[in-house]
Amino acid sequence: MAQPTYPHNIVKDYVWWLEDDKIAIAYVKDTATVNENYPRPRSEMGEYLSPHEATQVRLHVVKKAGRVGDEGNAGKMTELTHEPEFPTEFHEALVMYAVFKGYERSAEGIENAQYFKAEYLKKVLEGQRYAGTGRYGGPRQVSVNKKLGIR
Amino acid sequence: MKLKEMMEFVQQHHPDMGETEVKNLINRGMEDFSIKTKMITGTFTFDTIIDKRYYTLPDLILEIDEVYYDSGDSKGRRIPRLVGKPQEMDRG
Repeated sequence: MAQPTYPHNIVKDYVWWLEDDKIAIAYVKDTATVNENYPRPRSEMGEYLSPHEATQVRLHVVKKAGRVGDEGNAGKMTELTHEPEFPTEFHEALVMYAVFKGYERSAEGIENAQYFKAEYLKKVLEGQRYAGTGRYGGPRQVSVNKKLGIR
Repeated sequence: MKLKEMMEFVQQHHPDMGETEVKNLINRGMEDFSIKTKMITGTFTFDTIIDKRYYTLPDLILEIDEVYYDSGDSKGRRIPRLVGKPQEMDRG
């Protein structure tokens, strides 16, 4: 039987973490001590090594919307006919933000600014609820087990 | 709502405001709304480099939900997030 060539064809336990605003990718060295206790003592967690291969990593992220005038980014708005990345019902919120910031420029506009800021913040709350649902709606299908209850 | 309509709406309230200023305010609004609602999700890919551990993240990314390793051609294996930091470092 052919011997595996270290390290490329060994399935490794890769992990990620964030440090200094960067993402770190590493794998656990194969000599990690096996310990069934939880949590494992840090001294027995093994050594973390940097990737030994060039491959692709895909991140699923929460991100900022593409900016007006930005070329090359997803959601870019380089033309006057482009629309923001947000769902249509939240486009008005962006207008309200610009309007209240505009009114805040002068002392006479403070009252109007407060009104539009309150409207903007209402939209923010709606947006947070919308983002929290993840577009799921309606009832969930659950399975009921006579012994274990609702699953 | 198209960008043009948004700009016209703002300029109805502030006729003295120039196009650049309106665009800047809409940009700030989009950034503020993105950060407060965490509504926009997406994917970002990069290639690992041999013996390199740390990779810079673009400013657009607010939070990372999931990471898939060896993810070419829409494949990949989801890898867990390490709690804390490793005790030992290598040269990466």
